[in-house]
Amino acid sequence: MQKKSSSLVLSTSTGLIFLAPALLFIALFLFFPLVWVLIISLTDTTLTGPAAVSPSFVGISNYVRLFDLSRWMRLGNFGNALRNTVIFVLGSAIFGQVPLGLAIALAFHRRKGLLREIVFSLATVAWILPGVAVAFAWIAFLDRDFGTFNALLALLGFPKIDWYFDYPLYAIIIFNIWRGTAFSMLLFSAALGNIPPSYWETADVIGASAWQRFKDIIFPLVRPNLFTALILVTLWTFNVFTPYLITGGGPLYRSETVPIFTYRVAFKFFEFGKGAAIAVVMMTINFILASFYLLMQRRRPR
Amino acid sequence: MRGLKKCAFKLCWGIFILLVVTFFLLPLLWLITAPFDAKATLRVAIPSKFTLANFQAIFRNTFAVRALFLNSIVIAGGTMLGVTLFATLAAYAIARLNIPGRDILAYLLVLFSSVVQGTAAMVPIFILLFHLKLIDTYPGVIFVLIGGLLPTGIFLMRDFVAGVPKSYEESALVSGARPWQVLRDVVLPVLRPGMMVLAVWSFVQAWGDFLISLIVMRSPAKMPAPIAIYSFYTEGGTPVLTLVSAYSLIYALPVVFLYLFVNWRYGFRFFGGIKGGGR
Amino acid sequence: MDYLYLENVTKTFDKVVAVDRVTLGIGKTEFFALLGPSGCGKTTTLRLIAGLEQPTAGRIYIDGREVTNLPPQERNVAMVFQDYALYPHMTLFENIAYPLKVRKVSKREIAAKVHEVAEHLMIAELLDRLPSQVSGGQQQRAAVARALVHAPKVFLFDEPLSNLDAKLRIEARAFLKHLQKEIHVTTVYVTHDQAEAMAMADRIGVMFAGKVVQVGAPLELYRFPKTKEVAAFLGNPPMNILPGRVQPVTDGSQFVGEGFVLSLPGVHIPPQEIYLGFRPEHAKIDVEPKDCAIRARIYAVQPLGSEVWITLQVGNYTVTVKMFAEGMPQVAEEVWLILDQNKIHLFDSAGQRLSPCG
Repeated sequence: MQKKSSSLVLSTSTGLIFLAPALLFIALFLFFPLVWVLIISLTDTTLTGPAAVSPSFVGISNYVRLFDLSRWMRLGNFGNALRNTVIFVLGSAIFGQVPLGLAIALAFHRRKGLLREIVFSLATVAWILPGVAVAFAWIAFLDRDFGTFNALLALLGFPKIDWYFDYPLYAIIIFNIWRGTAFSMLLFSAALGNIPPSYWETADVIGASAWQRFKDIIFPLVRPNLFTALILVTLWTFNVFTPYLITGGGPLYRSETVPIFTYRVAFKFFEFGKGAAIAVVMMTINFILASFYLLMQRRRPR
Repeated sequence: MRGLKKCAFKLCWGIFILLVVTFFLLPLLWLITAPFDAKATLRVAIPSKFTLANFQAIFRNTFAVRALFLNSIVIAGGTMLGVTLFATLAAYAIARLNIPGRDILAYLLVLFSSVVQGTAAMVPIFILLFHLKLIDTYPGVIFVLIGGLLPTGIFLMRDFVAGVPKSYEESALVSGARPWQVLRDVVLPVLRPGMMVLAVWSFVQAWGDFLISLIVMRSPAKMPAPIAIYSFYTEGGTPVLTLVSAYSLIYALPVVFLYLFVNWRYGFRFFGGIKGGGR
Repeated sequence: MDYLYLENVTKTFDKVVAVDRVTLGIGKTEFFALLGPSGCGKTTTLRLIAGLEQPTAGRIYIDGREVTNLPPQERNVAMVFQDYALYPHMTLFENIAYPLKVRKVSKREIAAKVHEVAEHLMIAELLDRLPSQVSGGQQQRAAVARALVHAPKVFLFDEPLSNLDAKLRIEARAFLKHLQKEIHVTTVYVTHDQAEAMAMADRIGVMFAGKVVQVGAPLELYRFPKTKEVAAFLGNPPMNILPGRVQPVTDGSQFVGEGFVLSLPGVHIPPQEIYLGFRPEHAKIDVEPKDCAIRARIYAVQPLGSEVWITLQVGNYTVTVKMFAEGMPQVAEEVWLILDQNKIHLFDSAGQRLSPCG
């Protein structure tokens, strides 16, 4: 079967040349690592030492070690990281960023003006500023003695909170909500903007209340976006590494999420075999989430 | 009675907005007060002694300056060029070439780029770079960044290329232009706005990256800003706030300017759907 | 050989035959319209002439030279696209100059030619504007200017007026026809609008389902359509076509439709299933029966100023009659539909034209 280009400008051979660099990068940094990480996870490779020069095949013992249920919930082990991550994702993504983004989009839909610009700009800036800069800002913000958050609490008559020592996981949850809400906000804003004005005008003429409008017009039309947002935000939150810069996974691994755990095992101690096993588990979870996302996309008429 | 209900509703709305503004604004304040304070603390306070000495101290530190103005720019700039060029070429080829199974390929791309991300991906990639002798090199970091950003970049451009009507190219051909002239005179200029968005996006992503640089770069002379900032710690392990805050501000500014520019030029919205590319 | 000649040209996409063994000869300076409904293959035929598609079979000749395998840039044709395809990043001047620029014409000559052609098309003052800054009608003329500027051998139009609003369209029609007569370029014009084709073309080629069904001058096609599809396609409102049976009677035939009978004196054809056609302007209504009259009931009356369209129920069918507003009798529920005997069209069961003498 001859492959005919559908364009008179781009011959098949030129087109393949255009495609080649991108394909090379993707093969090298997407496909190849995916396959190789599976292999490494079945060995005891390390960076230095005898296992680096001649790694030996250890089967699934790395995985067995990870999922050793008798010890895995201990601070510093995989089960602990997994539990922290589940709480983290539930708190900052599913019950955090997405509902907040929707609420803001609803609050401002059909309203323009300075206030909208301010809110949207602030949220977006929080989303796009480099991670290191916002990490320091948040370290300052949550400091027990000098941080602005506690200063506000003091103003309102509440006692100070020692975020780092008492509630490190909550700290990064709130941080991540702050960090990522803009995405959901912009997404829902665009979706709401796509609803034809005639729907609203009809609702006005009928005399529908705000709750009825939400239930009958907004929610059905926004539902696909809701699922998309939930899945994507979950996927990204699951993999996010920035909280490391605020709490370092501590104290004593109490805010250590799976990505941070992976980093510690693979790059602090350079135990690649073990690190690869965790990476495979992470990628499997990613795969499940991404498949859900793609399934939803296929169902929707584009 | 109706009026009272409406009033209460408006009040709630107002309180909500106030909370939202406060929530997003407060943490940022430190970044704009502390750098100008000679006695910066973790507090947000109007500087008793407004000063630019912190910035001066930074510019005197050649290591920090080099990290920011050389390394970060090289890494982010190299990534920007690579992603923009390769993603545009690939997106155009995919759009115009009749590859069977084009859509399945697109799905696979989204799938794999979602699976292979973050620290999980870094484990095999590190070993790969080690064997390619690219550890502690600019290309090492840049290539990894390009590889990670390309799938989303191709998607961004693909939408754009779809918006270029084939009739533009056909009209140029009928006018007598050879294929390469059509690409140069018609296709490239029309794709330029999309390429600009791609360039800004990839630059910002690379500029903010610290994980890859953290793992791949070893020598202090090559470390970009997000790693170099940790050199502003005392021997005791506490950050020197005057320097850290000022450095953070300078480091954050290009992103702010780019955002303002994109917002002014194109408006910062999602034009037709999300194609990934978030955090 | 004709100036533009298509010999048995066929184009197949996967399993679909878009253009089916089309043979056409178009003369130098002729304005030839390709007319047909959406999907009939007329645009594909145009693109084959331009070189934007390669024929699956057959040959194409322009000015005696075979161009079948030549790419578009070597055929020296010009094309105006439905969306005009003006490059948004170039001014009108640069757009129009583009064909000359790629032919490496000198800057001075480019300027002279562009200005000349822009004057002709009355857009000379707009040359330094971007396409987004001028109106639809002006964009269209800029597209025409770009096509003209390098003196092509054949001028191709792909439904160029369909993006204009109704009033502009009528103006543009006259403008384009006048222009073509002045410039004497062989023109192939694709449209689905029969009024446009009738008004502008020297000859029309009607296409259905990939085949050219009839070629001829507009009035010839209008008066003597070869098939009932062609008959129904031309004319507004379309020809009324009624199925029925014809059988011979003394000195003629009789047409038996569903719910009515019509005598056709002087028509001698063997008994068969046929279609009877008449144009709305070749019939009238009256309160008294005359020759060739059928009972009918009024369905709707549409007064359009100088003329009136009357829709009638005849037997099980609906027909439309077009009459001048003056001279219209008082309208009652039950009227008589009176046909002009000399202007009746007959088609056999396959839709082919029948001569009244068999």
